[in-house]
Amino acid sequence: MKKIFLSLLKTLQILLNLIESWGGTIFLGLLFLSIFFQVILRYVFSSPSPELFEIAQYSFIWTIFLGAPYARKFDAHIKFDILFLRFSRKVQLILQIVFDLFFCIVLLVSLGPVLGDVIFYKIIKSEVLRIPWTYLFMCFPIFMVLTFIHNVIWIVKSFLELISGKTFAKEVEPWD
Amino acid sequence: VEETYTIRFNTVAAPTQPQVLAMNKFAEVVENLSGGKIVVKVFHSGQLGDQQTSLLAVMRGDLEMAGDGAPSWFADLGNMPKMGVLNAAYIFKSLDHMYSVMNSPMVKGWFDELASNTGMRVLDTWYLGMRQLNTTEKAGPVYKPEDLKGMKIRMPNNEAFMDMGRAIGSNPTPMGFGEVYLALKLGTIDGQDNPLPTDLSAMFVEVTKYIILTDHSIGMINPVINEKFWQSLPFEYKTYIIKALEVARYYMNYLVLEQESKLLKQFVDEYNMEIIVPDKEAFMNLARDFYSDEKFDKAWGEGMYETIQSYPLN
Amino acid sequence: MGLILFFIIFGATFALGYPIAFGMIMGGFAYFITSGMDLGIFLDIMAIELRAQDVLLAVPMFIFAANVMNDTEITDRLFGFLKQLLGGVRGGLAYANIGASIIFAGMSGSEIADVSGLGTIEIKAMMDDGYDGPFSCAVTCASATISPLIPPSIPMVIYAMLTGTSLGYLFLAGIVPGLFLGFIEAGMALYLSKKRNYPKGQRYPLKVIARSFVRSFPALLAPVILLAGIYGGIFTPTESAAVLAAYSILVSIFIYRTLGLKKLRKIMLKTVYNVGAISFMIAGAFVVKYVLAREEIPLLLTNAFVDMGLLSSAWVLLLSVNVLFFILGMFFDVSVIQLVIIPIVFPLVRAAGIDPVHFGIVTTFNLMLALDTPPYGQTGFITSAISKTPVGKVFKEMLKYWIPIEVMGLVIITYWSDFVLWLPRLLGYAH
Ligand code: NA
Ligand code: NA
Repeated sequence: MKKIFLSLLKTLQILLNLIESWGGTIFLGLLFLSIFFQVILRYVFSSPSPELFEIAQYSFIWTIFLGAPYARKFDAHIKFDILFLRFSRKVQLILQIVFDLFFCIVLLVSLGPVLGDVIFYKIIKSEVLRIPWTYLFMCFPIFMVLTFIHNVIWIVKSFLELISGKTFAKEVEPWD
Repeated sequence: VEETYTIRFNTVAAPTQPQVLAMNKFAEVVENLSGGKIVVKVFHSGQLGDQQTSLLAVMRGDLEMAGDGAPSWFADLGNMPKMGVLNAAYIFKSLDHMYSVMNSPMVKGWFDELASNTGMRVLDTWYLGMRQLNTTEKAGPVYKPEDLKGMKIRMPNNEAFMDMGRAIGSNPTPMGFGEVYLALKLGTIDGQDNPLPTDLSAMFVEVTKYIILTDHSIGMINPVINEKFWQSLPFEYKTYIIKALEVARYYMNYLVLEQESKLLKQFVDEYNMEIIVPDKEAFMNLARDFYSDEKFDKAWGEGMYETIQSYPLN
Repeated sequence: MGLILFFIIFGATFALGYPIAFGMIMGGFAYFITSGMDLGIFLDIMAIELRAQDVLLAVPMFIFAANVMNDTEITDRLFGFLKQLLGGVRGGLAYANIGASIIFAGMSGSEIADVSGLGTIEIKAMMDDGYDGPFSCAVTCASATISPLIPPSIPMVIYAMLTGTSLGYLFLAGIVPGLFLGFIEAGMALYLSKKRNYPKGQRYPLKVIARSFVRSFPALLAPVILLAGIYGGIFTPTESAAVLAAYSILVSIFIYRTLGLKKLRKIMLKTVYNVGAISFMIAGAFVVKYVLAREEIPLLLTNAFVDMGLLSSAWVLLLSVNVLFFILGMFFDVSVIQLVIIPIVFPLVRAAGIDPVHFGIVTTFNLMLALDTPPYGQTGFITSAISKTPVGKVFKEMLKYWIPIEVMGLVIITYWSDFVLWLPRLLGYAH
């Protein structure tokens, strides 16, 4: 059972990693380039580009909403852990499972309405490039799904640790 | 027993600006008329969302009313590009002309269409002020469209506004509102356009030299209400709301017009600015040429720019 | 009812160590459901409204720039130069430590990252040269509180976004108080070095210093380019973040030759990860802001303050807000307090006639200072871990010498607004 889970986990993580790390990097790059070239175009060539301004705005949110699940993978979100660190490992694990489950429910229940909204927004187009909002804001439901998956992985990991007592190796951050 | 209704009414304007004062007036009048059965809570400074998200919230019903509706938003949010024509440079000849058009059966029909498309109903039109061009000392004065050549004029990053900037012959530069003051001061941009009260409230008057009375656009805001909520109201309550909005409209329009008449003198006396009366005819001709592009006919309907421009006063 | 549920859930997840941004969303979820609202509102608040906050584009770009500088030795070279320049003087490395923070820190979006990044280099250098652990740690913590006052500074970007204050003037306003605090801290370092007879470090020949100056010149130029570009009208303060990143990339590729494609990709990946944690918190805080506004909490609070007569005196209000921020700052992350508390107290501040730029500097410094303060001064714990000094000793040194002078600095910044606003006014700020 653990074996199947591990191999499933591995495939899933490769897929997630592809979306989050490559997607995130590409949008970060776009964000950077569009702001930088806006400065060049306006100052050097005196021909500012509304397109670049808009690309920057949307790359910004795509970077955030792909980055957030990516940070979830490494459990890197900011938290207040003075109390938490004083609990026994068992209590910590139970707390994590409870909260992760709750957050999973929040994501699951909200996903429908959010998707409904995103699809409804097809009639609205971005101000300059006229791209339907459905595509531009798709990053948000994507964030919800990716975070949901990471949360489920965390729940299973915590659960396995709770019954077996063996800790999972920490995700290695790829820049170390 | 009669039901009590609570209306949340949101705007991005600050408490001292005319729209908030008018919204407070609306709240007061509607509560009096309804004997306290309709309670209006005014949220200023964008507490419940910026212009766009508050309109979306009205569409969805999470917010009852928003004060920041405007044709350019409706064109986008209601997928009704034809409404963009109301935002074109020199589309209205005067404030009276604007009200003739806004109260015309055609525009009323657009508002009905908007309500069925989006679930958001336009209830009124308030005057926000005439947009005037405003340039820095370094950039120099503008008398005719050619003077604007190469000048970086800030516009909101919205295609309708960028077109407005192009229509009067400038080189529109998108920039967030919060950065405009310093960008004018430091010469990152050469000018901006806004109604005079905004020039004062955002203190652009300190960092620019010339107010050019181009009158290129009549700014308006359209208070909107959630359609479902609106239809759920008893008939007499709807009447109270319409009546109270009318009182608020007169109040708002009075405040803005009064400010505009005083501001020019204040700009000259206190901020040492120079008022320039440009060759408006030349700007209007340029705009007419610009909007004759088939791109606009396609978006607005054949010849719509001229149809509205020549719409009779009633 | 909804509001109570919101506070219970947000409070419980927060106190029990669940990611804060997630707790904000969970609390909002309970509130929206009980208020009968469409949950699609998450999209509006967290994505659509967030996208419209143009000034926030600076956050990922400053983080990007910080990561490039740290990973391509730009930061190391700068500190290396300061070390050689000042090392021979008594207490020299303490000055280098303070100087490095003044020039370079404050753009990673997290004080913790600054202290653990630049701080590690500084503490190691100081201890190698014979300074004791508590002193090395305390100087590092104290100097880290100054860095967000001097541009670049992410806390100021967030403050500008929340209050609509001009980022350009905030950047200007922090410079003089930041330098002033730097001088006070250098004074304290001098006093302690004499008192404790700290060793002089190695004296480097002028030729070596000159070479090191040339080598670190592009790094030293970065803040100059930033300020000259903004105040020369070439780019906006928001855009300056991307320009800084571009500059660091170009310098490290073409001059230092410490950056290749592979490394750049790693740095970008790390930035995505940092942005995912730091900027996402802003999205979560928007939910809190919305819930509190919808329940009219800021209005209720303003009315309560008016009833208590606190708004009649800016003096008293500043004192109470300072105390409130300081206490919260001892426990909570800087950006959390900014994002949750500033929207609530800002209307009060405006109503009392306090200048928004001035207030921005006061809160920024206050929150940084609170990070240094026991029992949960996070910077104290990090430096203690880096230097393997008992945390009690670090805090003792902080409390005895450094926190008093910083509190004095806070009092000056708080009650002498002309001091803070002098430079902005010189460049046209007219309030
Ligand atoms: Na330092
Ligand atoms: Na800084």
